[in-house]
Amino acid sequence: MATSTEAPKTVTLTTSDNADIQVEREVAERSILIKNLLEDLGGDSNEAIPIPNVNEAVMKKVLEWCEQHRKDPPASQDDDSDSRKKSTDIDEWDQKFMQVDQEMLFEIILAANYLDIKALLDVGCKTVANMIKGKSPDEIRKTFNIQNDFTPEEEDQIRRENEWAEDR
Amino acid sequence: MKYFIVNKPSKLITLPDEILHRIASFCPYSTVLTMGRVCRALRWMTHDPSLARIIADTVYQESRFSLPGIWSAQNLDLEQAKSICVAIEMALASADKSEMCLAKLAKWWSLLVIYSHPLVGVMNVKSMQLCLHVARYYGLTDLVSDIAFCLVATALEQDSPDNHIKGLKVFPDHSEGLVFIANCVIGLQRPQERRVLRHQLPRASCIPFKLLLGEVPRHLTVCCIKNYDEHLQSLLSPSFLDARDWHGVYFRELDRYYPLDSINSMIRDDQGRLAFSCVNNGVAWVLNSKYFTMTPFGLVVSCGPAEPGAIWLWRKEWCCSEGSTTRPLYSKNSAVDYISCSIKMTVSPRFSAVADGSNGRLTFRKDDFLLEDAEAMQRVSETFAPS
Repeated sequence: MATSTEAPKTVTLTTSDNADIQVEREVAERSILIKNLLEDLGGDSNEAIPIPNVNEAVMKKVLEWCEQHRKDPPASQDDDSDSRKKSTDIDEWDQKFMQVDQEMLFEIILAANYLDIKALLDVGCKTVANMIKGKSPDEIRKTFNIQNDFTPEEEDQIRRENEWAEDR
Repeated sequence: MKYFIVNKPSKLITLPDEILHRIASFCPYSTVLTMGRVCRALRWMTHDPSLARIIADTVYQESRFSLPGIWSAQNLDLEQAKSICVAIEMALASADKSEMCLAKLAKWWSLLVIYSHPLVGVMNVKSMQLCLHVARYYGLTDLVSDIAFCLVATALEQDSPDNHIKGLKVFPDHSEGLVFIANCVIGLQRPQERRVLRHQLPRASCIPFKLLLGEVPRHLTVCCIKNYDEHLQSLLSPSFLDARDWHGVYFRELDRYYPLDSINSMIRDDQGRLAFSCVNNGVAWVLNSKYFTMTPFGLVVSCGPAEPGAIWLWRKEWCCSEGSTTRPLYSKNSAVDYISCSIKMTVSPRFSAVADGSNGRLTFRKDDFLLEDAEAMQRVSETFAPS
């Protein structure tokens, strides 16, 4: 295939449901996993990259985020260190991006974790954190459809364990 | 052909622990405690020391403070890290302009001071002085100790505004000794004094409080710095009082500060008196006083009934060559904007007042207080003004 030297380089990603997705290399390389794979394969390989843990729908959603953030500074080695900001502020575009059903939200988080996209992982985790903050245990159960599997005795023990912190 | 999809979750609890850990690290610790009450699968969160340490370490990042000293959550065990997290959250609660009971605030803030947490530099010195003024007015001795302890620590970490401390008692007991030191720290930050002494003052973040106070309870259910008085006084051994290890300042007639040129000897005799000799303003000076007390910020020695003056002494190893001081933040959006918050002062079950940290004013609650109490608070308000 003839390519212009000025045309953006593309790569093909094969998802878990066997779909091939073509995407600009710069966009795909927001994923550290894909970036490292491409480097291992050599610069001009046309091989499709298998992404066995992510299906097409989720991959397209993840790539939408990568496209939007393609010009962001690359993730540094320190991103996971103590310098990580505690703030749960999420920028407006990311907030709209994360307005999906819970199943897709968790799929995006898992995909970001697998693909090693720390910034997207943090956006997902902050979104979930914001859904949890300020809620009672019962409200959290309702929000995430979780069964209360504690016995009354266990609940009483946990309540006693936390008493010191509730004296405010 | 249907491909396998591993880890297909539909619920929060199916996420791997490392992701749940990451989610929780973006939450206040109270939320982590709540999550531990949701179900067994999330129970581990409240027992995870690394999670508590991350929250204790990162929560103040937005403040951009950089203190010298010894803060690191990495050495804390689970219970200590949890205590710090809750203490931080207490301190930050006022970012939402919520009100908070002064006694509880002092209790938690003391814990942050003891562990040299960087948030110590955020407290508003003026509002703390107002709180101290009220606590002294009402003779709430335990509270006076705790507030003065926090006030001194904070004032040592930042440039302070006007000095509002009045009515110093020169025969210091433990709490008044701390009040005296607070007065010295704030007074010594006046421009004319600062150039002389600033480089010699201790830094709260360099003082080994845990060592000085002995065993510190993890949850401070009863946090009163006064409770550590016995341990503090027991520190005054001959080796601890080695004169070469100390700096000092003489506050003469409660009006003027004189940094001591040198300290020659400090000896505690069998009668419980402190024999103290130094060179003050080029003149040799010997003092034999029975009025002295050891505090977490050093020794306070009163000159006795005949002379309204006292000396504050601190160890040289508590000073820090890094000259930068922290400053409170003024951004209203900051999570640690402690400046404009209100502090509810519940000085008795019957009434309360709210101190506005931004302008030092007291406002009164119309409910649940007696008229004479209101009048007393009014007098407090009137007497709290710059000298």
